[in-house]
Amino acid sequence: MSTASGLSDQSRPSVHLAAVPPEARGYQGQRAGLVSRVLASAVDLVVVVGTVAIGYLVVSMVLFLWDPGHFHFPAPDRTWLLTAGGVVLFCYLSVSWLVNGRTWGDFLLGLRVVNYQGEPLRIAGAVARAALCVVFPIGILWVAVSRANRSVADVVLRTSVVYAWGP
Amino acid sequence: MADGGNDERMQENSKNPRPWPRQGPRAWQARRPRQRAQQAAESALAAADVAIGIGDGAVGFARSVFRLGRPLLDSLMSPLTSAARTAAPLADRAGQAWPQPWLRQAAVRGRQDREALTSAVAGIVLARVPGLTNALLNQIDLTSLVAERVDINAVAAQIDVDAIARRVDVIAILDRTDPDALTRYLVEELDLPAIIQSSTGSIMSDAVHDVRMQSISADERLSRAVDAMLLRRHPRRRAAPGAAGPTSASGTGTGAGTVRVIP
Repeated sequence: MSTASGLSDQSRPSVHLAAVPPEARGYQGQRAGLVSRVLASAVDLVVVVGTVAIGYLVVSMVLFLWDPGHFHFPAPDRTWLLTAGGVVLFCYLSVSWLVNGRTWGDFLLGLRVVNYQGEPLRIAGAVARAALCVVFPIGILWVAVSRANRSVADVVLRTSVVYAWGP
Repeated sequence: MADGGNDERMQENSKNPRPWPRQGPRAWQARRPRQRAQQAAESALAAADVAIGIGDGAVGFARSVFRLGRPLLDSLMSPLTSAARTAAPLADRAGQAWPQPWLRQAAVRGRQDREALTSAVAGIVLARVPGLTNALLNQIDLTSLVAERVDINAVAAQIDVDAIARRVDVIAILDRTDPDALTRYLVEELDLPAIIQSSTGSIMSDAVHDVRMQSISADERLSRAVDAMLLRRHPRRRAAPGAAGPTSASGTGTGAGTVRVIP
């Protein structure tokens, strides 16, 4: 079926079709409020905590397999956990914003992170924003006060978190 | 009438025995050329009358001969006319209608010759028909001729499409197709996996939709509460760069391609 392959090879316009309900269309492209962003961050935090927990289990399994006779669950202190959580969160946010423009929490709440041109973040922007969010997470609360629904990281890096229910 | 005129003139001549009139010989001499011409004309007319009478007599004689010989002629010609009118075999009727054996034999031979000649001529003609037809068609642009002379629309209007459709063997057509290739073509064209994924995502997003809408409502309520506490009179500037505006139904302009909203 050469015709089918030939037709499928043709360039198609970069248009994504998304079923957005009428009541939500007016919000698409607007900066999200504090509640949505906190909920998305909570989901991301759950993802990070789950990742750290899985990592802890993997390390424990490796230690068990390495020396089953003297095995005991490792007891990392708070600094190690926070550091591991921070590293995982940094990697998770950077990769997610760079690849998809959104984390899993953003996807669940219908949000997307864009730069000052309304485009997806580039690698520098994604890394810087991830680092700023990890170091100063409380800056998200500035969204409630900001006239433009911007957090501290958004103000510093000229980024925005907008409603985007489309894929 | 001509005969009547001649009789009167003959009666006048019998009453006057002299060849000249009463005025005398001199007067008669003066009129002589005219008299001669009149006599010549009367003689020619009499000769014509004689010829007509002879012809009339000949015709009457011929009629009499034909009338007398007609039974014989009918007996000779009746087999021909009866054979032409009927399709009965000649041999069956020959014994009854042909009293003369030589006539019957002549008819049989003639019939055989005629049939042989007919078949020979037909063979010759039929042998030349294909070549002549091809030569004729080569000299004619049949397509343009049909296009000029034939009303295609009128012919097409008389075609019973329903009858043709009833005669179409759909099963045979389907047997000639490749279902696998057709299915692959449809899947590729319709991007069925994307549709299934989108549909599944839509079903799964029913619950997500409620969460999103409630979060948006919570965002607005919180924003209004904070703005009220801060005594702000102007609404927030929530339009992000590249956004089409809060009232737009399509085109978010959020970067990775245009998001077109399906109602």
